[in-house]
Amino acid sequence: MGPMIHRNFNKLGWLLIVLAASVLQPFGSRLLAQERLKLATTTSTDNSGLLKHLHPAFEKAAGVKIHTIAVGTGKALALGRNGDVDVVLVHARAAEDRFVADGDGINRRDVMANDFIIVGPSSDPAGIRDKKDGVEAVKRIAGKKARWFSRGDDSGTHKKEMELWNAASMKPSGQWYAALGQGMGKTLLAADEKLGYTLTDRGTYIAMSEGKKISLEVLVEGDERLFNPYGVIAVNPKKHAHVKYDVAMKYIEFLTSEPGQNLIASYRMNGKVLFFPVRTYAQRGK
Amino acid sequence: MSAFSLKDLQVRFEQATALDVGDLELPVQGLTLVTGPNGAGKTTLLRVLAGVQPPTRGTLRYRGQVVSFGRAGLAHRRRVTLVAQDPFLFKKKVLANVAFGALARGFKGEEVLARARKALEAMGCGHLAGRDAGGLSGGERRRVALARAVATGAEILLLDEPTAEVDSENSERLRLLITTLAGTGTGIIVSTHQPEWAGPHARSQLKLSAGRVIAFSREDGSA
Amino acid sequence: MREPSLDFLLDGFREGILRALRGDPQVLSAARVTLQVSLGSTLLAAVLGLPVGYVLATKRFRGRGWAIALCQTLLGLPTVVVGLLVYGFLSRRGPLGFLDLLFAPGAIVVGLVILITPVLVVFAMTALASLDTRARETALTLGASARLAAWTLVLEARFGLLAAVLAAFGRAASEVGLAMILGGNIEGYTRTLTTAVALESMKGEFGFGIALGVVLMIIVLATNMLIRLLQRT
Repeated sequence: MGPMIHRNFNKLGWLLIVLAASVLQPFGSRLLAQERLKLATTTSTDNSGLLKHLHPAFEKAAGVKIHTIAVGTGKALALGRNGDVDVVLVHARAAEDRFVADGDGINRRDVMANDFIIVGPSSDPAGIRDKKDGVEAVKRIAGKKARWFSRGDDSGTHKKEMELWNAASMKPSGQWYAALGQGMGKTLLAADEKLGYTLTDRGTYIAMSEGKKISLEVLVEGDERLFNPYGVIAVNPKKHAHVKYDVAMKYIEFLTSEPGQNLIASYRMNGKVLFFPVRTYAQRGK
Repeated sequence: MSAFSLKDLQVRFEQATALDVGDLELPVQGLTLVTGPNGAGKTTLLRVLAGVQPPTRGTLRYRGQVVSFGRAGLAHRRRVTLVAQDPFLFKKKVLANVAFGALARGFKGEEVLARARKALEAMGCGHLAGRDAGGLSGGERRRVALARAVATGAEILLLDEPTAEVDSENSERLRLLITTLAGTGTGIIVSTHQPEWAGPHARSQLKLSAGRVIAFSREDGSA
Repeated sequence: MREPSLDFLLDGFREGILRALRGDPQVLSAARVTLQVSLGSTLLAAVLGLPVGYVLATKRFRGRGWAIALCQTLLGLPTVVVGLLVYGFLSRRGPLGFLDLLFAPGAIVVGLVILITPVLVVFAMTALASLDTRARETALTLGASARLAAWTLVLEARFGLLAAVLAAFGRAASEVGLAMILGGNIEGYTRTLTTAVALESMKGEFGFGIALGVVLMIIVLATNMLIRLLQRT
């Protein structure tokens, strides 16, 4: 019995050692690895693929690894407020200004912009095609009670959508208006499925339609109201002493100077331009 | 030489009194029988003697020392081992089961296996060593359980109904094994309701009925 | 209008599986992270939960009924609630923020341990309680110490206990919400197979999402087989 027990213990012992080693590896590697900069941004920004195109140059130059946490705009700013990340990159100006005013972030800089578009079924029941006026479009959609899908999640896109409804002096509600609380991809899929309208950032739309996942069409674009500027903000070290403020500032510097701006300008999604670096429109006084 | 010494001993369960033997001196040399019909309290008595069932009243002494129950009774349980009716075998091979007896007693290393093999041989079960304990017949199970108890090296073995519900051929075999064992110096108490056990090889016989002692006869004629 | 057909399912599935089989680095790293957090949390939960399960199964103490009821209730903890609570503790704003565990595998492990320990406790308790009650007494009467008797019971219940560990592992490996909230779905670092599936699903990548799911099931199946192999010894 003794030797029998020992045989079992040996097998078990080795298994446990292998397990423990494999499990402890990430903790060990964290101790030895390079510094990390935690960036909170929106899912649409992450999904556009821009960051994959942009970050390697910075990581190499600064010797830092960027850990990107992609969540909704509200959550991204909340993470910054709590000090759980070092820098945020979002596209919701009013919220960004509040973030800075509250002392949660400092050194806000414009980075780039893309635009929103209203998409819908090719049959266009509300007749908004080529209207070029976002407020007019949503008025028509509400009037016809055509199906509309909203992010409903306090994201940048959702906030932009609410701006349109506010400008139209409307509070949308009813069977035709569905607030999903989901990301842009899922919202587009739902709108596609149910042949409804929605407001989307151009990047996610391109990705989904090029990938043949949706067959919605671009119906309204070019309205200045649909302009979608991005801001990068460092989390305030006065509120959270532990944040990597210096690295965050290096990152902000990178984004707003030539190397970063060039990379942003050169990024293509399925051959199409997606983002406009701020230097191209800064003169417009936006 | 008194082995067990019971004073004012009683065991009650809920409302019923399972055992009430009062004062009793129980010498154990060779084979002692505890007889009586079902429900007479034989099993309860054996469990008390084994140090497994604490009495609700009274004390138990073994070789003059008071027997503790629970954790403190470890030393006593190593001197006295109980083999229950329809004994329980572990989910291991036969050899491992028997070796457990030696292991529990505190033997180590090579000695454990040596004792186990020896005990199995003595019970005529050497050929069963590599079998799974789950696949044995009734008679084989009892012999393996007996071997396991022998492997502990205990001074006294308590066997509860060792041949109950066993066919006559295996019964005979078991009886022979047990009486031979008793002859080698291990004290053995067998509880049984079967008349076949009565005979010259039993040094003493305790008769129970409804939890009470109704007769106690010893080989030397004393009562 | 697209013609609805099975092709949609099959094409996506095929494309996704091919990507997975070709050793796509995203798939490999997601699998690695899943294994690490699932194994780590299962190990810790076993160390914590098996002894508790043993005590609940074998010892009679006052309040035992309440303790068992508590564990069974904890089985039904909604994972996002656990996630938010743990986030509250691990956030820089929270009491344990100084540990800097958030958005790293460690945070996921913490959350998973809280989630799966009740699973282990309840399964282990059931396995030990359903043992033949004579097992312990037999060990004791043979002269076994309390420690050897306890170990004997554990060995007797080994099938049930290994099943408990397996159940906990499966639960950990398939967890999404918690991993998302506490890990942040950082590519190559805290992106598990499940959070990767969630991401792909959000992007509308049906095929690749399913493929990742299949990889996950293969991992759980492989673990199952490994456990069975151990049981044979």
